[in-house]
Amino acid sequence: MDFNRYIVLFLFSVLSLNADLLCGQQLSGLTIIGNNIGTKTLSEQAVIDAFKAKNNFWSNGKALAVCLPETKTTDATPVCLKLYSKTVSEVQKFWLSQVFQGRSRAPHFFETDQEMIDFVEKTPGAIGAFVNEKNIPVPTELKLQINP
Amino acid sequence: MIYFKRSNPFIHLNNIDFAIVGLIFLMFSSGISAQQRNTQLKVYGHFQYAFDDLRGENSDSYFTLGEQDFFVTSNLSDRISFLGETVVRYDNSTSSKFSPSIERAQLKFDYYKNHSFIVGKMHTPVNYWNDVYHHGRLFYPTIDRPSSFSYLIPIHSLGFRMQGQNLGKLNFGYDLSATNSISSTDIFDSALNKSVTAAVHIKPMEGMRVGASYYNDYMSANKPGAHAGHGSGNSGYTGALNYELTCFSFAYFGKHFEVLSESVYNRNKTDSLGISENYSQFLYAGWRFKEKHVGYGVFDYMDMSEKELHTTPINVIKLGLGYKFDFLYNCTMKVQLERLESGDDHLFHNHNRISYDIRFQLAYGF
Repeated sequence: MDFNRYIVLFLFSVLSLNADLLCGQQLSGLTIIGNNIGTKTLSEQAVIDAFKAKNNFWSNGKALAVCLPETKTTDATPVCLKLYSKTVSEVQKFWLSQVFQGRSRAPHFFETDQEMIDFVEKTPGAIGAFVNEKNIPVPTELKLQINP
Repeated sequence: MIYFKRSNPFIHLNNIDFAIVGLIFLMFSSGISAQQRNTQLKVYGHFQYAFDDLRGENSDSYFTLGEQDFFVTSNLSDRISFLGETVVRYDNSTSSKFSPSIERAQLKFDYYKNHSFIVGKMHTPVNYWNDVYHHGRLFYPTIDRPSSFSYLIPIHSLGFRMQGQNLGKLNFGYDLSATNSISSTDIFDSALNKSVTAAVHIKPMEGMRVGASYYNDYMSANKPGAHAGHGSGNSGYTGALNYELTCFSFAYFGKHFEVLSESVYNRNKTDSLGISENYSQFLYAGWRFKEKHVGYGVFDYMDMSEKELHTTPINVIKLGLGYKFDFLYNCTMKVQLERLESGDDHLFHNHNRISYDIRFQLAYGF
């Protein structure tokens, strides 16, 4: 019995140290775009899973291509915080490690929102996120509806 | 060694030069096709400074140029990708004192969702450390690998592997492989049977991975090969040996708390001395007190049987305290103070060598 109690206490401690996971994440303020990913509607969790490369392919068989703002852009901080709950440096190291393990393909980084839109537009399976402070018009066919 | 006699009598290329020239060529060629293939070349490496045996009579201090790791990935198609890792490291047996070594060269075919088929030379996925960190000191939580990597873990394997990852709610993953024997080379294996690995893991929450594995290799002739990674192979025993390895890993890297436990049980059977049972336990615990600062402790223990014939029987116990400063995402500085006891006697005996060492490491990747 005592042993079980210690296990529960240990797991609780680990969970509480990572409390941000329990609070959920908000993607409001981000523009999420995708091209031919098999759906036009995604849950927040599905978007986060996609950006963390949990799956290599979409349900329609298209290969996942993750698109992120270049790390020195103003978009990088909010995008990393909302999608990964990490700082820009932590996200950079996350991807460095993922690729080094051979478990994921490297993401694509873009200096401007327009460059990302152009890339996603011509790359089936691509998904991208940016803040769109300049209100750049996004092609309707790329817009994704994100449900909480 | 090749000489370009007509163009320049003073230019000659040895192995290391060839590696550098090849990589430069690769960089240019990758630039041409990067748009289509997303080919990437990255370099990892480290420098080290050590002050050994702080209180002993044979103290020494020295700088070390660590492994320089050239890492390339390329998408050949939507479903086929290549990963290569070539390391240049110090080698006293060559004229340049450095030699290149192909550590990984693998083609991966994603045949269905998150299921893949991999062929080539890879790191044997027996535990978390060997599957995740490879030669990238930048990712190591401590300065060194666990001691078991020098004696018990079959680091590399050449053959094929079935892999699955992030399956279901627990993010279940598996690796099943059939590869050349520990005693083989990178081009030949005299044995008909292959070594087999079965590894499973789950990632029940962000940052956590729990895994277990079993590895078996029947060697008709025990000899140090390309895939052992055992720097201390026992060249004195060349008879048959059945090598079994069971590993259990627990890793958790959260916002603040970090822990990595690597447990190893190795059972070797020979006709001459019978069964030897070897154990190893590595434990790392760290606390990230700011985004870039980690304080940590490390415990590394290895207990080998006196009947051990596959490798040199040695016992190790290491206790260390360290500090890691991630001053850039791709550059890390570590300092580690450690007490190391090692020898062929049982642990905690006075016959073993005891030293207090301090090490500094600068690791980078770009």
